[in-house]
Amino acid sequence: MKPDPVDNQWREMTWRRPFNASEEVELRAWLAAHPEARADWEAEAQLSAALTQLPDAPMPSNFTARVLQNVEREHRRELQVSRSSRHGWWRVLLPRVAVAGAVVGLGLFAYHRQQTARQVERTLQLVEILPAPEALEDFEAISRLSLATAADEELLALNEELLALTR
Amino acid sequence: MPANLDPDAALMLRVKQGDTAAFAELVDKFKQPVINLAFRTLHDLTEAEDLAQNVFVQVYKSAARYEPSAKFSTWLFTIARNLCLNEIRRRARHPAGSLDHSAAETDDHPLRQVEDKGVSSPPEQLLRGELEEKVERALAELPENQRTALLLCRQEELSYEEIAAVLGCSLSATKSLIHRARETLKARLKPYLQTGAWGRNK
Repeated sequence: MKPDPVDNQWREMTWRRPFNASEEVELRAWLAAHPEARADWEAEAQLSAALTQLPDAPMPSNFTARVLQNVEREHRRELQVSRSSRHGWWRVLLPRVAVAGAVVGLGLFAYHRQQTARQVERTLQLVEILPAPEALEDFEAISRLSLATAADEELLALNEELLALTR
Repeated sequence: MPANLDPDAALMLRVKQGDTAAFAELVDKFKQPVINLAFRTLHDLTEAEDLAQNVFVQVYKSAARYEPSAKFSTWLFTIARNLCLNEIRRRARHPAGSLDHSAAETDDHPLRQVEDKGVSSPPEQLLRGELEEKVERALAELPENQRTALLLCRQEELSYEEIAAVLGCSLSATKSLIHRARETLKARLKPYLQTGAWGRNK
């Protein structure tokens, strides 16, 4: 059966509020024309009355005061959080800087040790390829000898030039 | 400030400027509907109170970002419903737990001070109490979205469009949720509704 739009309109009204006198008269007239809807309408009216008369949940007398206390507590807590985040940045930053400094310091120390070890290793390798100290015993004399050879060559050159001039 | 600004949104704009009195005014106006919704969703008064407290703390914390693009009550009930859904999900994950309490309850500073109304219980009130219990139980057995739609429907200041915005569904889907919830309640409460007790006790 198609729902009656007038019936629906009345129902939506009775869900919200009690009818006033003129609305009651109109409804009675409508029900006189639609007797089949009377029983359901009586149940609707009884249910509306039952829901309207349901008692309110007990309300503590200090409810509003407690809300204001809670709000004040929240407000103080938020202030504390914002203050600590504004002034306490160095508390957060300082340990990080310290850790970063320690890491860099350890890195430099390790690098320095590694470089020193490499240098020592290179020196040892060089010592290994050098001739034995006995072989270098006449080093100074040989060095001087090679210098003298260079002087004799000059002298020979000059001698050759003189000979050429005299010819 | 627009001339047709929702008065609650106007109060919220004052809260945005740091006006605590305006905030207290909003809490006083909406604490009962918020706690009702939380109580009927969680079925635990202590948890409902804690959740309602959280709703208003969230409102205050979000005040700086608040833009009056929708009615304040729509925004408020959306926060309340989301927190209720979070709590339902939390319960599903940890069935035995309860909400964490931010402060311990002591004899000097009790967390709750519920007025003792000292209501007597003549037979008519006993019957009424029994009927109320049946309605509460039937409401508790509804799916969450149907129950929330039905409860928000009791808030006269929320239009169907605003209820739809809180539930995050279309207008027709919202009306359908309310219709289905009412049909279920009528079927479950049929023997009690037929007594006519609600009409008599008005």
